[in-house]
Amino acid sequence: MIKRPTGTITLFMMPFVTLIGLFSVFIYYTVSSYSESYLFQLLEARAHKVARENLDELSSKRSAPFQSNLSEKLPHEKDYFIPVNAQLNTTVESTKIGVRPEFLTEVIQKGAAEEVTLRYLYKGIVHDTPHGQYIVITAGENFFEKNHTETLFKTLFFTLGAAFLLLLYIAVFYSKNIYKPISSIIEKVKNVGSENLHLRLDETNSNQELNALTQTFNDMLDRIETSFETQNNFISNASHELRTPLTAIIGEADVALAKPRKLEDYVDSLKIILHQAEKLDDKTKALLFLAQTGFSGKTMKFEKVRIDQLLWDVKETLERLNSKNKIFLDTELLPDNPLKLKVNGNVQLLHLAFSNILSNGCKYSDFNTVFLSIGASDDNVYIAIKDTGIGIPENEIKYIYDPFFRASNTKNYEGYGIGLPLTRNIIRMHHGKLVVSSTENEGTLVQITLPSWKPNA
Amino acid sequence: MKKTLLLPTDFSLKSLQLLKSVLQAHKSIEDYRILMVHGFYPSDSIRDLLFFSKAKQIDELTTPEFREGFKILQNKFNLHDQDIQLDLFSGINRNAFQQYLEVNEIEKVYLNQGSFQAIHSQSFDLTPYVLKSKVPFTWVELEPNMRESEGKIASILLHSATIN
Repeated sequence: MIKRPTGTITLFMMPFVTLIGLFSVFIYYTVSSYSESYLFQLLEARAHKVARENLDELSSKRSAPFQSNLSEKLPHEKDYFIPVNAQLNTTVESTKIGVRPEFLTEVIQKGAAEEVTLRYLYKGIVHDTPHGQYIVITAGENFFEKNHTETLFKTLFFTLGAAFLLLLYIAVFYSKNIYKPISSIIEKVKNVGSENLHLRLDETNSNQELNALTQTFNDMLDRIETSFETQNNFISNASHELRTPLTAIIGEADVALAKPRKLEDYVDSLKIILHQAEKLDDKTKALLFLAQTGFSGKTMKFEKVRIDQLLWDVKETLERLNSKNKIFLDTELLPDNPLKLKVNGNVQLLHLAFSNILSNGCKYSDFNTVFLSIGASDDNVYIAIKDTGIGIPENEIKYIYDPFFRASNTKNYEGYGIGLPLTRNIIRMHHGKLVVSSTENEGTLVQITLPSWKPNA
Repeated sequence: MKKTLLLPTDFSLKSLQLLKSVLQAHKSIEDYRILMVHGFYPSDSIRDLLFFSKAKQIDELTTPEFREGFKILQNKFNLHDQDIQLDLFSGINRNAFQQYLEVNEIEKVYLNQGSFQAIHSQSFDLTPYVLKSKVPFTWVELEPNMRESEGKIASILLHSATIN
């Protein structure tokens, strides 16, 4: 089991908790500011009302604050009436009411003002009466601060706590369920080693992404397994192939040295040894080439190559090499515009690749005519090579690219089984495609696709 | 005035072999215009008809191999796009087809011997229409493909038929 995925849980919870916390703060401030402004509105309305009731109707000139007995009072409401005249002492009056002196000055200057203390909210207005101006102040209890704050706080905290717990539960649940299949995949992949490459992960996850992951792993394992097998085959085949001529050389030399012989016998022995040594040389040369092309093409020089010219060259070379080779180059579909026949490639390598395929065609069809046809679309050059030879058995066609593999029906023909893998490497280096299809005893068709040369490529 | 030849096609590589044979049979191919026509019932849905585009539909019906093969033949004979065209015929009866032939001034029709394969549920064979029309037609017998070249561009490169 992997380490507990605390990271994921925090990652999952952090934005949510932050969001909910922000919401709580926002709700708290909105509610409190709303209730305050609502109370001030009420107080203002009351101030106007009490001013009209007390000052306009009563003609008395009481300057002292008095408690009105009106029925629609707000809870803990207090009203004050202060006449504005020369004797007004703001400091004295304000201490009586319990507000700052600046508040009274502000009321006189602006005509209205608000003041908030811990317990009370004050609204002051200036009221005009026939006897002069009055400052009317209504004070109401800050009942939100007193009664609702605590409840709101409690509610918000409770919600926050509940949301946190719920989120924690969900996060743990999710992370567990998400990581369970992943950790099982990790477990299984760890078990796969070079000795049990046949193991595969089971693709039974309900999760599509995870299935894609296991699929990818399995595909990779397939490739690794195949390349391991190819490697193993290659080594055993190569050593076998190299040993055969060596054994012949050693045997021949042994026999020749066993007792004194006539001069002609020695010459014969040496001829055989030379022949075998040449074979060995051929094989190592081919191997070397295969190794070179199998690696990066850094040292290769690529240039514009006209495929039709190249193929004429190959045809000529092969027919010169062995007069029995017959190749029919079909120019029927050669494009009008020779530019379309140009590919970006290495002449020597392409020459080698095509001569490999063509000579195979000649060899395995007992020197029947091999058909070769070229065509070009705007993006690719297509080359089709068809022979009417022995073909490749259907169940062996998947091995034809393995070095040293030779089909079971090739016993009567000489060859080392290096040509086709070499050709495929070369075509691959040119970003082309090589497709071989065959029917046993009827013939083989090779289709090669090479991307055409592009001015800007 | 160029003469127009009509080749019913099912957008298979076989029909490109037919095209190749026809092109080879006409030495002065510059005097001809070739129309490859595929029978295709358009969809009943109004929305589909609203967004219907012939080029897009043809693109959808053809395979990359067909398009590449088509290009090979076009490159070989250096044909311009207006000299060789792919088209859809969506008529539902003989008269519609006759009209289509007349509008496009078809000289002759080349038919591929019984190889039509519907590539789409809305595709249909044009051969019966051609047989009943008033335009001269020729049957072309293509040599049977090697099994190996089935579905490959090599089949166009290697095979052809002679038309008298």
